[in-house]
Amino acid sequence: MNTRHPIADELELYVLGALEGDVAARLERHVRRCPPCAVALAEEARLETTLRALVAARRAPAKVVPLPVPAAPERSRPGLSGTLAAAAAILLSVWGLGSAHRVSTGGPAAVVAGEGPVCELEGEVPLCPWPAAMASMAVPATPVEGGTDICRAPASCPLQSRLP
Amino acid sequence: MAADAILPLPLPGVDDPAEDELVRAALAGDPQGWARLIERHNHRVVVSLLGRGLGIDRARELAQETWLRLIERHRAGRLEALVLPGLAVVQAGFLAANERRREPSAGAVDDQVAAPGGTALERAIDRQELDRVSRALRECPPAARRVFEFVYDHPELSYAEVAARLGLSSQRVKQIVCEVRRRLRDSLAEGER
Repeated sequence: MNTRHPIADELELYVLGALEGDVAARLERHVRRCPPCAVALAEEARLETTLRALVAARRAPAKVVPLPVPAAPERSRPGLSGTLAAAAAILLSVWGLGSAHRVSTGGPAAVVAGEGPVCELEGEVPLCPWPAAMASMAVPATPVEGGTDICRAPASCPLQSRLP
Repeated sequence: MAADAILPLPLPGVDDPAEDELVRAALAGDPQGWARLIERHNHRVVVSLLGRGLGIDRARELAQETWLRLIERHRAGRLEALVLPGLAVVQAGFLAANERRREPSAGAVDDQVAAPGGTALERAIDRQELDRVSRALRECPPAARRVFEFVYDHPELSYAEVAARLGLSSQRVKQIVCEVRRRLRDSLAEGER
């Protein structure tokens, strides 16, 4: 075991994907066997996720689309319902980060066809990661068997009407 | 070196034809297209899973499963477009959440990282946090801010690619990103105090 604990800068660079390959591999080896460093790395990764969400939300207010809240979640926390839509909206804007590279297929812009509709506004931002937003928040959305669905928007989703 | 020392930058256009080409190739069924996209975006997926408290090995496994699911969807004709890394990150988060539901106590790291503040996204939705980060970002030197935003807006680009586009060294880009990130981290920490 490599006994040298990675310094904070290394954890940050790792999360940013900016660490050289061999250094990153060494850090990973260490983190596998060092719970405190694993926790530190997880916190760094969590911060990165938060920053990406916040930066994206800040930069793309026009892309944020509020989504409705399910009528009766199985378990709910006080005050959480009002934030669900915002969370979903932020998730959308994060998702929208890749929209500049979206490949136009020339037709209606459903990202995932078939059982799990993924809504989209004007071909700009992929929308409606309904259960994903719930899952991201550790809120018990209705479980989907097999867990393969990216989106199964409820009928109440206002974007359903825009699906092809 | 302080980020203030950065000179105004000529920022190029935001479109990255290489990414588009890879997506087109993948959607056309080219395994090489998929391989390149996975190589390019996998780390972001792994980091998103680490942020959920998964250990490094489990995060890698789940990231791999994420890509397999996407490829399966494509082969089944149920994937018409790819928005990366967002689509993969969402899929990975979904798999992780399902796993957590099945094994709520799985992962020592998971337990230790489960902070009272909840998930990253829960914290992200805090309007005050958004305001703090926005303010902190505004207070950064414009050139540093533009580099930071360019990096965050182009997750598909490596630091070397970003550096080439911005006319900076890779090391300089990393320095700038880390410095701006530190300011944003501090702004978030201030709010928690």
